Amino acid sequence: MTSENPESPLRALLEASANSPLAEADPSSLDELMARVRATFNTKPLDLTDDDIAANVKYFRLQRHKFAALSREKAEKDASAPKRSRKSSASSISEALERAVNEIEL
Amino acid sequence: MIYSESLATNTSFSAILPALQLAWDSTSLGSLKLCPRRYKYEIIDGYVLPVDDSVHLRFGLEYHSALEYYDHLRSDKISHKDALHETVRFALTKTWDTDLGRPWISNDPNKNRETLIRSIIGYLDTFENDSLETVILANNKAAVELSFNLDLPGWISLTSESFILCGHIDRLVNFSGGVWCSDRKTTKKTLSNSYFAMYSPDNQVSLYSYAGKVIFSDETKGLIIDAAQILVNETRYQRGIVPRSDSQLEEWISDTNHYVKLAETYAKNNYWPQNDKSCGAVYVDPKTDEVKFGCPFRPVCGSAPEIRETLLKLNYERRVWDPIKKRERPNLIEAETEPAKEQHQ
Repeated sequence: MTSENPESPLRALLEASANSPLAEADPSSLDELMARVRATFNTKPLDLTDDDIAANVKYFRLQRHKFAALSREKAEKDASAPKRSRKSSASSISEALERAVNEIEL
Repeated sequence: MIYSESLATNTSFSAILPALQLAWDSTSLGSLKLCPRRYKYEIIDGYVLPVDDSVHLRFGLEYHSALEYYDHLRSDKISHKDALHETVRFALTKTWDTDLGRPWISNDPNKNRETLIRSIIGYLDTFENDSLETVILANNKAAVELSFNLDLPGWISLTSESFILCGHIDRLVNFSGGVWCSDRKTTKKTLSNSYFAMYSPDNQVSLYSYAGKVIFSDETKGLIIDAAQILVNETRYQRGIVPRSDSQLEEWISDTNHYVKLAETYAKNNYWPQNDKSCGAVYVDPKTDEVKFGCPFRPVCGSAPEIRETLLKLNYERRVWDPIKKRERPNLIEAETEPAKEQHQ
């Protein structure tokens, strides 16, 4: 089930998706959608309406689109980030070691 | 000679020589190939570690059932939108415990009711315009969830009973001028070339390809795997093609004959030797698709022979592994196993 935590990644995700075309297509708030999906998971199957099922489909599609967008964004960021040279990595490790040794000596 | 109580109810074993397995599926054959002693404990005696893998089994079963349900609806010319809608309802209904009046509860963050519904919707949307066409059987039903039993060619057992190979193929599809077995798998592993590379060679893929060729279509080319990586917050999908040539299948069936003959010898002599080089092997559990490290019976085999039976009884549970028993299915008409020629969905 979806977490009740207001700081949950899912809530953040949905809020961040508020401007997506999918969200704009439906005037109902994302909070409402999430609450509805949460409720369907505790509803007897015989009591599920077509709207309940449609809310599930929309909610999980929205989630998937958002993660796909985030993955693309991360991949682009990773591709454009300058690669650290082996020398600089080694040098930062050696500096860290030196600092640690100094702290121990102190 | 004392045999396991589990054999009394196991229809896959000989009634004449009780430790002789006659009906072989990929799980039991795989166990034998890993280690004869392990096969004895795991398949003949039915010992398993009391690890709760029910979540993985339930998740896999519900995922397969829902996608099978969708395939049937689509073969009845129902639109993607409506079929998806009905499939979500079907999955929510199947995962509701009517006796307890509550939904199926899983504590696994990757495999639970929410990730199940999410994964079903994501899969069906991803492959909405699928280039794979489900083969239509002679009864006009979609060729999905096909159980097969076929004679192992070449010889019969020393008890004059026939050996058979059996299993369940998710779906038969037409693709690129050939017929392919299609299999859907769920995993937590990263989907990459190395994920699909682990299926060549692979016991299950070869068995299904062989069965597809012998029973369903001479044009069967291998297996197409639709893998779903189930993460906590998202599900990723990738399709992999795992071909098998005629010569590869001939080699596989020849090897299978060899292994089954060995099993017959072991049963006749009531002796299953240890393969002590496979004790630490990393492998993928075919029942749960989980990566396992080392043989679950290592503590038993690592102990003195005289206390092994006690260790087994104390530390393991028992169940019957009977390949002939049919897999639990959703409420669908069982597909006949003879495909119609030249019909496509």
